[in-house]
Parts: sequence; structure tokens; C-alpha cells
Amino acid sequence: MARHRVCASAELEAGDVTDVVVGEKTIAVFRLRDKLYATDGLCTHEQACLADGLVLDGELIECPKHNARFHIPTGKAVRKPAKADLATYRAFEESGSVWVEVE
Amino acid sequence: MSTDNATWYTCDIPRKELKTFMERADLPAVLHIGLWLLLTVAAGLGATWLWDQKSLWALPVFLVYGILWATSKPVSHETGHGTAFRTPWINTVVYFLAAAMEQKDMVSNRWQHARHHSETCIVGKDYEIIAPKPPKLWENLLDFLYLKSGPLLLWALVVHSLGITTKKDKDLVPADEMRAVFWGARVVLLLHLVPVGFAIAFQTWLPIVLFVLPQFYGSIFQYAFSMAQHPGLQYNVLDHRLDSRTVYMNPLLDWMTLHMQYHVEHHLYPSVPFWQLKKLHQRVKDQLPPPYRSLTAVFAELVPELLRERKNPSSAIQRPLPAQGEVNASGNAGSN
Repeated sequence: MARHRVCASAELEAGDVTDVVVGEKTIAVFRLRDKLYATDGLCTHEQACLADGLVLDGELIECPKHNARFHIPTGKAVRKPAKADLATYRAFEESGSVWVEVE
Repeated sequence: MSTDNATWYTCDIPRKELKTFMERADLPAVLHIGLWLLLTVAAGLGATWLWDQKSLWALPVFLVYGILWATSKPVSHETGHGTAFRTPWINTVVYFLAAAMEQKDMVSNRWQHARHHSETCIVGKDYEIIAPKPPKLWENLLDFLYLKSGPLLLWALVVHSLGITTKKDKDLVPADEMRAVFWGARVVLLLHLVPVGFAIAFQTWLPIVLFVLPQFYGSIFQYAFSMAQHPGLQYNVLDHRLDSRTVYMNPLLDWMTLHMQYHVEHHLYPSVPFWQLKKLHQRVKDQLPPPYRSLTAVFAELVPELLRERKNPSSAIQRPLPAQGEVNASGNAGSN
């Protein structure tokens, strides 16, 4: 696993999402309350950028194009049209930055 | 032509601000859709009473009832997106009800509408193009009374109830969703057959007029709203400012269409609930083509355009883009 810097810690507010491109992957990184999560950053339905979507109810991300929803901690697709789950990754803070571990 | 990479033009608006437009709540939709349901039931009861009195006043009241019933179209649209209410189960229940009133099962309708947002007015992909180029104007005229869509939708309910997967289904709906389509269609078909059964049993047309026909005699306004959304504009483009219209309407029509006349904004930001579209419009309108001032203004431009397209299918109304927007219009997602 290689670690990749996402942004400065202060740039990611609680209840929000940002993303980072790692190689050919887009990774969405979330701060829910005080904990960080990371998932694939593109909707499994039609590849819309989830970082443009809305974090709902403290633990769901809604795709900005077709309103599919995913459970952020597990990556599980919970609203159609998405059917496939998102992969999840480890995200953490260190030295004032947000990081994600991706192969 | 396809939009598989899911990028589309969006306006220059900071994410923090956009999030305020996307936020969800139950109350605005409870008030709007609750009032709609209340008025529909009241008009239905009033029309039934007048029918029973054999009063000719029943006719205009039935017309009002039908127009209210047909407002199920934007209601099913908003709840189908899942944005109308914050609470998911309320969205689902109202979506089922409103889609049934439109003679649609909610599962196949959702997949068809998802495609409409992926491939808006992309010929051969978007099944919600109601004015192809060249247009079949008699079909459009019939559909002001639901006389094209209505029979086709009823037929689709019958076909799906029999467990048949159509060519269109194969293109739109994942195979493992078809079971839900079939059962959804059976329930909706049953809801339409029960009034027919009552009509036969009690030898009265009333149940049919109340529960089967209102979409037909009441759809004129909703179809006019639909005609104002995309027809006559450019097809096969990736920029929703060019294939969709925003139209100012009076407060009553605004209410009847659930603010869906801000249709450019809706396609740019499908996550923004209907009750926030007017505010969003005010925020981004300088980045969009000028809105039409009225429904009349739309049809004054649209009717000659459709007549032109009968002879020249490549014709389209060109919407003027603001200078700032033109920079962003090359198919790139904007900064949101």
C-alpha cells in the first residue's frame, strides 16, 4: 500500500467530501464527524464524480448525476441506479494533512 | 453519441454554496405535495357529489380534478429522483402512488429516467424524447390528452404483468430488476382494473372517470410543460444549456410543475430538490441562456420550429450562451 496526500486537514470539513486522483483511480475522501473514510471516487453506475455529490444523514454519499447512494463506511450501494458497491480504502491524518492508502 | 464519462457542463459556483442548495428537508415537500394530495381528494369528492346530483357543474370540477391528478407527473419525477423528501420511505411511498397515477411502474420508470439524465436528447439513447426530428405532430397533439402515451403505458403494464421483457427493457433495465418491474406492473394494473370491476358491478362509469381516465382528460397542462422542456432545441449535444429550457411561469403553473420549469438548472444539478430550484436559478442565471418569459413565449418559438423540422430535421433552436459560459462549454465539467 502506498500513501498519497489528499489535502490539508483544514480543507476537508466535517460532513464533506473531496477527491484525489491516484494513478488511474479517483478516490473520494470523507470526513464524517471526526473520522475519515475513503472510497472509490466515481459512481459505479455511470462514473459521475462523487466528490460533487452530497453527504446525507452523516454516512451516505449521493451521486450528483442520478441520485444513487452509497454507505460511506462500507462502500455499499444503497440506492439505485447504482448496484455495484464502491471499494473502500484507509484514510488518515498526519502532519496536518489528509492521506489515503491505495495500492 | 454517448455521455459515458459522466461529465457535463456545470456553473461556476463554490461547492460550499452549492451544498446549501442540495440540502434536504421534509417540510417543503410535505407542504407542496400534501396540498396537492388534499386538493386532488377534495376535487374528487366534489366532482363525485356533483355527479351524484346530476349537476353539469360536475364537468368543470372533474376537469380541475383531472388537472390535479395529472400533477402526479412532476410529483413522480421529483420523488423518483429521491430529492423531494429528506426521508427515503416517504419518497418511495409517494413515488409509487404518483407513478401509478401516471400508469407507470416505478422501477422501469426510474431506469428510463436515469437514462434521460445520462443521455439527454441523445437520439437513439434517450427514451423520453417526445418530439423527435422530424416530429410527428399528430402524436404530440394526441398526447395533450394522453392519447398516445396513455394507451402505450397501459399496454406496457399488460406486457410486464405477463412477465415479458421487451427490447426497450433490455436496453434500459438490468435483467435482475425485471422481477420488480413485473410485480410493480401487476400492482399498478390491478389498481386500474379494480375501478373497472366496480364500474361493471355497480353499472356506473364513475369509478373509471375517477381513477382511470383523469390522466387523459387532465394532462393538457402537464404535457404543455413537457413540450417546453426540450423539444425544438439542439439534440445530440452534451451541454444542458443547449438542450433544455428554463421558463418563467405564473405562481399557479409554477406550483403545478413543481418548479420543474427551471429545467436547465434541474439537468445541471439533479441533486437540488425542486423547492430550491428557483433560488438556484437566481444564483446562476447569469451563466445560463436567458430564460423564456412565459409558456406562451416558448410555444411562439416552438410551433414554427417544429413545423420547420418537418421539412428540415437538422433544424434546431440555438440558445445564446453568455460569454463566460462559452469558455466552459466544451464538454468539461465546471467547477462545483
